[in-house]
This record gives sequence, structure tokens and C-alpha cells, in this order.
Amino acid sequence: MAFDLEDLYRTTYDAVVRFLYRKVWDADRAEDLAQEVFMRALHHQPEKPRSWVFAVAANIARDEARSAIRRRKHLTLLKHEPIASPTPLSDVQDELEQEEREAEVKRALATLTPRDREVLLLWDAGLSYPEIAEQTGLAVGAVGTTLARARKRLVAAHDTMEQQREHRDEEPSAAAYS
Amino acid sequence: MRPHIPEEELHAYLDAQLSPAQRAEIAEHLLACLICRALEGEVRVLRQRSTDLLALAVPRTIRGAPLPAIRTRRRLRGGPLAAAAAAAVVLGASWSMAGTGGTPGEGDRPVLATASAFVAPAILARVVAPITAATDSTAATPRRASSSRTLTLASRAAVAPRVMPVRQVTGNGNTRRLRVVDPMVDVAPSGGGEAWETASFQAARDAAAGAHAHLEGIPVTPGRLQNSSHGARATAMVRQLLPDGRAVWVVEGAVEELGPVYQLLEASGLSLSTPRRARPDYIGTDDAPVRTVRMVTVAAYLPIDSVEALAAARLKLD
Repeated sequence: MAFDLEDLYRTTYDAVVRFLYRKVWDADRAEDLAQEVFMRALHHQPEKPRSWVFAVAANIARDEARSAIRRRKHLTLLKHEPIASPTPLSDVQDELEQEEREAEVKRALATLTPRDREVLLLWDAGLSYPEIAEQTGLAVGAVGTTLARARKRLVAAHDTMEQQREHRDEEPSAAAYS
Repeated sequence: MRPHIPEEELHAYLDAQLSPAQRAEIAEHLLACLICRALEGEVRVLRQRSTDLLALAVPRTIRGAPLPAIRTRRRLRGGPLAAAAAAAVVLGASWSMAGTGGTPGEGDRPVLATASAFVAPAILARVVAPITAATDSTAATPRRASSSRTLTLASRAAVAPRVMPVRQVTGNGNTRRLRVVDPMVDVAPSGGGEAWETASFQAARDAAAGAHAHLEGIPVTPGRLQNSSHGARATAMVRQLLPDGRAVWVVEGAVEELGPVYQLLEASGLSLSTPRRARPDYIGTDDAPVRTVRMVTVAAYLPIDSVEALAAARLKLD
């Protein structure tokens, strides 16, 4: 099959960014790394491009986690410091709420084992069971089992957090009554 | 009968990652087994919640679509979940009727399933009411209570049966009339704000540059279209008539726009085939294309395995 970078880019770019974002938790960094993935794809011209990009993305994210280029990250943060733009209050609230919810998902994901997390993220990125199996070294039959466990743990961890938060939220009002 | 279906197989089943033979086997087992059907409902909800949670962790730069419905969960404990569970119950109800009434091998189970379609909305109304009432009673703040009420009203509106007559051929050659919900009339999700309009199949195909999904070899009647918020290709429902006069619907649209439609269809007692995820698609103008995953599903008053078989054999995706 002829390698078509443009097609690969169009069909998988967003999924790759999402995949990377859930590993590095920095939007700009995720996009930078995704660019890198596609640069490598251009040189490498992989036979199974879809599986290939996620395998490389996983490797790059791992390297990234090891080296943790903090200085660069800091600069990125500075670059995106808002310049006192008049943002409507509701937007700010939405944004804060979104950040909070995202942080919960992040913490819930962190409770999974690395393998469970990887399989879940690869599935969410659009890979099929055989593709996931090939990348993770699992048997195809074990992908379903792993995915079932990962989903259950993710949702359970999130539920626990929600309950804790609700408990926290309700405490002040309980104190007001006493 | 085989032993109960392991949970991981239900995941694979719902993920559409099984061979046709395995799928058929599971579909058949689900028709007959209450326990597995209940588990299937749970897995369905779990799957959806897991996807919704992950959808919250998406960088703003590529997050084109609005956030999933999960955003209300905090104020409305169990809201979307309860609705999903209720939908699962309804689906279960229509299956169980097909299962208990049908004689395997006669080949007329689809007909028997028709009868359940009319019953299902009433069941849903009954199921939803207690669930939302429970939410009300536990709600501590007025805000929560009003959200719950909104949910109740929305659910009731969604299942208020508009009926259409359908003729059913009984065993001895007579026909009798049944009243079933017609989603063509009924499906008008108020949430999106966009109205549905009726269009001929040809108009629908023209609007989609000839790319609307349909079941091959089955006559088409006018469909319904709803403008997509992405512009260009509309969300479409195409009604096609089976030889015995019953109808199936092929529903197609971007994932986020199909969500409410899908829920409505499920709530109205239709069986839905596993959604096919077409390849990511580009809609919108040429200057500003929007990447979206489009979903295609087949809905009918048929048992799930019949719908799946129909979708597998006849569904044409251009």
C-alpha cells in the first residue's frame, strides 16, 4: 500500500493529539509531539501507518515523561499567558469547571495500571482489538478482558472522587445548620 | 444453551470486534437470557461512561464539539446514567417479548417483535418516573430538583407515543392492525434547536453528494433531514419499507448530533444495530472543513439479530 502522509495526517492527527495529551497533559506539548510523530512517519513510511503512529506516539510520550523538559514547558506557559482579555464570567466559570473535571479524569486514569491505561487510550484513539494486541503484545482475546477491567476501574475511580467531592461540598452547609 | 456470556465478550460484542458468527451467537443468547441481557445493559452504560470521561480530557485546541452530556452529572446525580439504564430496560423489554413470544426457527420473530414497540414507551414512562422521583427526593438544593424535573419532562416528551398503523399478518392468513410509534414523526429532538424536515430520498442524496447510507435492495420512502451544525451534509433518517409493509430506518449523522436521535429511537422501543463508525469524514465548506466521525445505524421493530443481519447484509456505505 502506498504511503500517504496527507491522508494519515487528516485521519489520525486529532486522535494522536488526544492520545498524547492524556499522557503529557499539556496541549501545546501534545501538538508538538504529534508533529514529531508525523515527521518521523514521513521518513519512515510505515506499512501499517495507523498502528505505527500510535506506537511511536507512545514511545515519544514515554521519552518525554523521562526527560520532562521543564524549561520548555515553562516557556510555553508564559507564551500563553492571557493578556487581560475581557472574558465573560460565564466562560471563566465553564473553563474552571472543565479544568476541574479534566483533573478528575486525569487522576482516575492514573489509578489504572499502565497496561490497562494503554489499552483504554488506544481503543479510544480508534484502534481495533487486533491493532491494540499487536502494539501491546497482548493476545487479541485478552484485549477485551483488559478493556473491560480498564473501563470498570476508570469509572469506579471517578465515582469515588465524585462522592468525596460531594461530601466535601456538603460539609460547609451542614456546619451552617448546626 | 451455552453458559452465560463472559463480561469481556460483551465488551467485544458492543465494540463490534467479534466475527459475524460470534456476534450471531451472542445476539441469540441475549434474546433468550435475562441475566446476560441485564449485564449487557450494564456494560453498555459502562462503555458509554468511560468514553464520556475520556472525552473530558481533550485539549481545547482540537476540541471542536461541545462537551458531552456528562457536564450535568454533578448537579444531577445519576441523571444521564438513569436515562441510559432506562433505555436499556426498554430495549430489554422489547427483546424479552420477542424472546418469549417467538418460536425459534419459524422465521416470524420479527413480526412478533412489532407488538412490543407500542408497549415499550409506557414501560419507559413507568421506569423513568420512579428513578427521577428518587433523584428529586435526594436532591438537596433547588437547582438539583429543577434539573431533575427537566429530565423527567424531557423523558416524557421523548416517549409520548405518536402512533401509526401497521398491519400484521397473523398465522391463519388474516391481518390485524397494530399501532406502533413512528420515529419519522416522533423524532424531533428539541435539544438541538434545529428542525427536521421531510425530503425525498433523492433530495437527501443530493444534499449529501450521493453519499447517504441506505439498505440496498429495499424500497425507499421520503426521509427526514436535519441541518447539521457543521453545515453541508445533514443528519438524515431514511425510511425503507420491507416487503411485508414494516419499515426500517437508516440513520446517519455526526456522532454528537446522532446522540439524541439514538436515545430517542431506543426509547421508542426500536432495536438498533451496532453503530458503524464510518471513517472520519470532512464536512463543512471547502475553506473550513470540519473533521467528524459519522455514525450509521439501522433501526427497526425487529429483534436485534435481525437488525444486525440486515445491516451486515444490506447496509451500503458510500
